Amino acid sequence: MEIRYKLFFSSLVIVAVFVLAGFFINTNIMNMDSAQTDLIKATNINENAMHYENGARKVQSGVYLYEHGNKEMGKQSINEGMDNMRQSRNNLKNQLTEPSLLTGLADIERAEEKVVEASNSVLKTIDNSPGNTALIEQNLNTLQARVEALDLKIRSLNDAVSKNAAAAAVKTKQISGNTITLVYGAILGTVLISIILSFAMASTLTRPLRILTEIANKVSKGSIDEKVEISSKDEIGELAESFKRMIISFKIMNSLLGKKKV
Amino acid sequence: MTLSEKIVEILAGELGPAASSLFSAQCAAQNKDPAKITKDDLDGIAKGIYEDIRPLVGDDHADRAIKKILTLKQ
Repeated sequence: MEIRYKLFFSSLVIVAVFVLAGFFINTNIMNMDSAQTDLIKATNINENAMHYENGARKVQSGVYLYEHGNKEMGKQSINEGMDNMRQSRNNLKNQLTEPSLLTGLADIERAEEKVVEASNSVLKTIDNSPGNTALIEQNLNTLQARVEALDLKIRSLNDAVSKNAAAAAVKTKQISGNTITLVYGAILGTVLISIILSFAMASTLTRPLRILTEIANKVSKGSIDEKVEISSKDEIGELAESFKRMIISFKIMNSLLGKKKV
Repeated sequence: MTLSEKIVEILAGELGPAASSLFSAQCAAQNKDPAKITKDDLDGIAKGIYEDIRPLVGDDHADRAIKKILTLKQ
């Protein structure tokens, strides 16, 4: 192999190490990006769950206002609360993909229906039997219990999502740690490979040149019986072949001169 | 290119710059004019050169050089 190809190959090895490291670093960055997306998603889910909970509380407050005679404001609050819950529910449906979380959302939906049902029941009792305070009180308690049940289910969904977010955060930390190690490893590996290749190339190039120099010195001092034993296939090998022919020529000329003298 | 020039060229590839002198010396030894060498003379010239160079370059190298010269017979 010609010397320029040997040098090119050495450079190629170093470049290959960098490319390989770059590929792994890129994969890590993509994984980090994915983990970060998971974190953002988890934050959004938690926000929507909070709105869901607030919606239920708003419905409950509206019912209390209605019961205390502020029917207009109560109705408005109930409607706003229901809108909040509907909006949050739809957002969560779009955001949740895991089957276990979707099952949790289905539970929340059922709990929401029960809250709505209990709230309507209170309003109906207030409108139809305003004097029946015992029944109104009982229905309000039922509403309170159902809102609490809904809160509980929303919190368990929040907990599950938070666990996922924590796992994503751990994963991000781990990947960033791996990336740093990989970068140091690539730098160290490249330095080591460069040193090894430099020594190998220097040895490959200088050793035959040193041998040729020694032989040239001996031949120039009259020792034409020196043997050139270099068999590399590069330019140094070609130089050695030329040098062999020169020595042979010296021997032939020496022999011819000897014959002439005789 | 004359036959003698071809012989010198082949020998130079194997033996270096002494090829010309070696060929001339061999022709002189066989009382032949280098410029008038023919294919019929190749065997004798090759044999003489072989004898001259074998002790200096070894059997293999000498064989290789002579075989190349003898290809000029074709």
